[in-house]
Amino acid sequence: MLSFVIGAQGQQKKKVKTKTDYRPSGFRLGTDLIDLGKTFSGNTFKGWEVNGDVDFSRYYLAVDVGSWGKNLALNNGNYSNNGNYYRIGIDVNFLTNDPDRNMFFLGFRVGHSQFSESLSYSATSPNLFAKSSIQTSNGNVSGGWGEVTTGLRVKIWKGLWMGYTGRLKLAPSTKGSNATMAPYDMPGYGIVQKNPWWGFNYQVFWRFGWREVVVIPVKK
Amino acid sequence: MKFVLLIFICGLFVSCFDPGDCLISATNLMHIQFKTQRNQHLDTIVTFAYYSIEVSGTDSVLRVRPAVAELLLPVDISKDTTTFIFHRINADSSVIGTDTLRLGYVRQGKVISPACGAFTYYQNLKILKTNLGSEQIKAFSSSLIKDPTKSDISAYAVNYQIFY
Repeated sequence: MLSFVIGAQGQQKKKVKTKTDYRPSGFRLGTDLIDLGKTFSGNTFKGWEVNGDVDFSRYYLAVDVGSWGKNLALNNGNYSNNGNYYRIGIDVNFLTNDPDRNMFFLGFRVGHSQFSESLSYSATSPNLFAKSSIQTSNGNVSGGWGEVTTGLRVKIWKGLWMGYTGRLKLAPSTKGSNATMAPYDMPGYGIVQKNPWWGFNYQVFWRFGWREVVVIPVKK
Repeated sequence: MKFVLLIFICGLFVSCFDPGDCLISATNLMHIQFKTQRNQHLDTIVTFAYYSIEVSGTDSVLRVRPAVAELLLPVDISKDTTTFIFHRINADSSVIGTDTLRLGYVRQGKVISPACGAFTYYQNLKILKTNLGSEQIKAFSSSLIKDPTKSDISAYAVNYQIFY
């Protein structure tokens, strides 16, 4: 009798294992509000960024495409750049039991940028030579970097989602620059000499779904 | 987990407001040493009174009196070449000898930050023309000195040694 009761309890504790469904259920398409805010609020930055992701269970294939141009007044001259970039990577959702499928994620990206830049400044010498006006440029520079990302995605209403992404950008590299100018600001990355460098996006998305995914909340 | 997230966000904003350091490590100064051919390990026992040095790109003539064993010489900031003409002169103003050294280099513009500005870094220094024999000149660093704050010029990387 006792052995029968123990056996019955063991059967109750057995978890029902379901096969993970990796089929995507939809995609989110969004944009970075900070880039848009900077574009419309000042003259030093013009840019946009489109963000998208597709779910494969708790894994999300994430793609960002963007453009930025800066026009900076330097202490002794001017710097401007313009270019396009993309990032591609994977986010892993750690809120797997949330019924709304809100996300807290960690992930990585690989980024690529194509840009041009120009620099004009006044060079001075402490002795002998008069002040000299220098103009130089890089016509077609390409570059790459890696990123570790983290952030949130929260469902606001129907297909409307909002969230942020924090980026730790690493290992920038460039090629195609002239010997007369060191690349300074790489669209998508930022200041090339800074490694690591930070990035932050505050994003709004719309989700286009084509099938329901039922998430069973964990009972406490 | 909450604390990790909080620290991450704080770090993010602190780094956003970090103004950065204005560390300018570019000069147009070339470090040159004069040594004796008889004993190259010793500094020059200068056997003449002073140098008169003409530098292309300027009308000024540098007079180094008394003659010293090492110098910092400026290169032309607006051109990719500079010619130096060294006159070795006795106390009675008679010229012992004249040597010409024409140098080429790449001027690389580099933005430090908007607040600090942009500066020129001089690289790939090379001899384009000289009347000095190959045994009379020895090349070392091909970049110009980067820290203009040191008081003792011996601390700087040497670009050329000239042997008399």
